[in-house]
Amino acid sequence: MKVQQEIDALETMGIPTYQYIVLPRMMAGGLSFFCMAVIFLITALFGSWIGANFNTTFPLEVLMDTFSAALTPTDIFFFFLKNTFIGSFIFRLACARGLSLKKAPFEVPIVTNKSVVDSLMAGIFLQISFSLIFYAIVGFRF
Amino acid sequence: MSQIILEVRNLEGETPLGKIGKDSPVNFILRESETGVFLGGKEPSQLWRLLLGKGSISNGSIEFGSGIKMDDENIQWRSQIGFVHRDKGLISNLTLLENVLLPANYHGLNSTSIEQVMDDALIKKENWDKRPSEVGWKSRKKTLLARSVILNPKLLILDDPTELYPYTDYHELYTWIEKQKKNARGILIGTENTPFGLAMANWILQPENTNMETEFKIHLNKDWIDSAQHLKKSMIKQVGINL
Repeated sequence: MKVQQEIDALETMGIPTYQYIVLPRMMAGGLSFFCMAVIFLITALFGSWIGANFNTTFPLEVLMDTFSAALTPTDIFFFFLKNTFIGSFIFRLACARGLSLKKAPFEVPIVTNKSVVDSLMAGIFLQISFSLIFYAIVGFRF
Repeated sequence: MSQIILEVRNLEGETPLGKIGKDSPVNFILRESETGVFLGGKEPSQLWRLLLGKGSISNGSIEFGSGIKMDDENIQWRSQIGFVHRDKGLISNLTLLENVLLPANYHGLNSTSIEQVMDDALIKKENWDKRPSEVGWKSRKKTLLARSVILNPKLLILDDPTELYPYTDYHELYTWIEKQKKNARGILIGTENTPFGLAMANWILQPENTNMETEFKIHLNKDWIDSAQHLKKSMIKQVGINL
């Protein structure tokens, strides 16, 4: 968008880049990351159930009952907060990297690489931070 | 006397593209239904940036007439100025029609008749729902022209309007610009195409002399004036034939 002067055109039309470009992407990032985490969670649950059924019979209801019994509102709150925040943050970071581009097309792959690496690092750091905060507040439960 | 749209006095400043007015401060008054032409390469682009508040003014002043209120705090005031980019600037994931309607939709303002704006810019109806990448450069340029007038601005800035436009179709541009003048708009054109610029100009600015020059037909090189007059005649002739 920067190379094609789309950002410049938006600003010239009096349309703030943050509102028109960045904010919707951050919201989409938060939502999509949360949806992705839900799918990952469901897949992990079913994966563990399939794994548990290799050598013995482990009914799905038992797994779901155990899971439901262990689940607390704090878990749900942190799950939602962590994933939406990380998703939004990664998209914000990617937008910032993209908007830092000057004009030359050759810069695109450079900032894309930078954005991917930074997002990965930020994602790992935030995951660890959120988990530490969660365990500091709630404590370990076995 | 017609109304003043823009008055620039002793302007010096700096934009991301460089400095302007350092050796020769910019001075001009643009009135409605008037065309001011800045002949040059990147100098006009620098001036447009200063006018749009995208640079810092070190000396002089920019005063807009009624209908345009500059606001340093909020960039939304820029919607009061119609700006046509050189070649790029269309939003790639929007259709041509959506691109033209974007400023009106975003600002929640009434657009002038969209059909009229698209027709004035001669955008073919079958292209309205196509994306910029699906149409030719000329259609993209026409879309940029149409978008610039959708909010009915008093001031139009055209950054090299002949860029991407085939020489044989300059009469279309001529007709469009004349229509905007009839609508009492003040038009600033920056161009490297000297004959076209001179053919359209009421006054000119040049990089080496940024004071408005109304008597340019007397002072400028005769060859330039002749080729401008020839071009103007041929554009008027083509418009006449097409009508």
